[in-house]
Amino acid sequence: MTLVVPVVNVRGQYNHLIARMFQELGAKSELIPMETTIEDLQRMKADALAAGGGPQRIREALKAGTLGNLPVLFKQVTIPLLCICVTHQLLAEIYGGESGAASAPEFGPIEVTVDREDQILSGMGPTFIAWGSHNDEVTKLPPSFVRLAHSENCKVQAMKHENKEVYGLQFHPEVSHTVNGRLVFRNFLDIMKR
Amino acid sequence: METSFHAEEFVDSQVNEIKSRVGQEKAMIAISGGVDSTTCAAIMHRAIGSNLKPILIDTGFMRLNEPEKVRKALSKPPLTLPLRIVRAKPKFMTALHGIENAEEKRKAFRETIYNILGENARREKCRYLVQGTIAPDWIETKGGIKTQHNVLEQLGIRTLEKYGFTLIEPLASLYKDQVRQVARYLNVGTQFSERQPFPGPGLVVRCVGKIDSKKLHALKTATEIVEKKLGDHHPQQYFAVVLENRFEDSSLSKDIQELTASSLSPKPDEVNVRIFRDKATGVKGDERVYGKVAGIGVSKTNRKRFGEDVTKLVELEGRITSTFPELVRALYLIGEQAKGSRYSLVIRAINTRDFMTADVTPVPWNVLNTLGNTLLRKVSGASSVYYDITPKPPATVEFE
Repeated sequence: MTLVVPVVNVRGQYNHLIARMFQELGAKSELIPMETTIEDLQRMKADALAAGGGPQRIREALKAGTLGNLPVLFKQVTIPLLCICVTHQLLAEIYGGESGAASAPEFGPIEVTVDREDQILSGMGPTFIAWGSHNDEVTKLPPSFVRLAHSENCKVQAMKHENKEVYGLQFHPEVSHTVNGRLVFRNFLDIMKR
Repeated sequence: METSFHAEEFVDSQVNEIKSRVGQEKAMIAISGGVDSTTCAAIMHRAIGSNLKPILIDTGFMRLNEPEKVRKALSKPPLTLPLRIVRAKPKFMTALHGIENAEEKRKAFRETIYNILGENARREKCRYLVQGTIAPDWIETKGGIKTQHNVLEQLGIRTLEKYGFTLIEPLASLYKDQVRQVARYLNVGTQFSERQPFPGPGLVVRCVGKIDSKKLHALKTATEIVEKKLGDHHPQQYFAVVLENRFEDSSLSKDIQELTASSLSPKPDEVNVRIFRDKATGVKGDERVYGKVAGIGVSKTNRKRFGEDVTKLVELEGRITSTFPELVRALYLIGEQAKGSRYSLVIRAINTRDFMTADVTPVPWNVLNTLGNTLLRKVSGASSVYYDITPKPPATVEFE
């Protein structure tokens, strides 16, 4: 059975690469707009949902209401959810954490230290080289989340909801320079198959 | 479970789609000699045969004698395509005259080339214009990072009303590595399938700031030397850039000097940082930054020691562009001379799969050093040669 994993286009540079990654792993994946509703996802028969990065400052975008239906959708979905970069920060905000300007923004190569592999980072520890591109970061972990990884300049590189299959990643596993980034997507697909 | 991209399936489905779309109409294809447009031509030729009219616009910003070389290569099997060259150098020089801003240069280039293509398509009664636009082109353009010259419809520009043709972009969903797979499958020859990419606006985006014929000539000479010497080290892309020796007088250079001195180990006895007045394009957190370029020089006796460890230099660059938001690029001084005060030359060499991210190729110091000396000797007006130590992000591959 082919898994269906749509990717929300948040207007970041690497959103299309996320869809490419899922396609290469045998899933059906295409970019969908931020206005997508839960009914749209059901109609698509989505097995999971992923969302990428974008140029937004999440706090400002939430106030201005420029994130379409995303803040609502992220709370509604019961299928596994993988959020990368800016949408990782959005996850933090809507689950009661905080995001804001990074004291040391990361662009290019960074060393990520795994605190807890969980399923999503299975096989990635103890450290790996990932690429980042972010001005903001998660400054306060939401109460229902556990931290899975950090880097020298960023406290929350990866996080997971305590009892839902909801994941946030600050680094970009979808770019070719992140060493073994494909494994993160394979792990995510494996979670669905369980 | 794991399926990679299937070139054969891709070509078959594109050929069928193009056949039913174009029918018996004629289509013009804009050729640059790069892997994208050549692969596009091979697919189109398979679909519509001699109704395909290949054209190359000689903008004056290609490499030395490149239009003729491309025509010759295309005329031979397996492609056997007749290429018409349209000479348009004066039109481009006029359109770009006096423009300093990178985006304005790119837009002026785009307007000029589509006006010429439109005229030619009308003259040859071609209803369609085919171009080799690929995924990073529209992703970067729509994301506001930079205006790629070959992105129109994705920006809402109505080509039929504005230029008189309908666009066909068979490769728009692919990345460079996938295009190369298609090129190999179609047997277009390794000189095309493995060719290093060359930007659409050509040397326009490597001749940083205002363009004049002397500066362009210096760049063409440097380009030839760099391409000849660096090929053996197999970066995916390698080229020369020219900047003018006009520097900003600010406390920023002192701040970066201090950061450099405290980051490098053992501490260099002397650090000198220049901030260029010419700006360059970068991408930080998915946002375009048209920012500053820092040239970092250490004393002659220390140059080799730090130059041998490119990974450490990239770490230094990371600290600089993280600490100073207005900075998008750091360059490391390879060599300089007293004479020739007008230009600084930059060598850029990167590794990348798909051009969405790129890392700096660790070219051995002795190669860089020799190359630097050759450039200083042969490029008139050059005073300094730098190595670009910035990945993408925060820089883009090209300077503008």
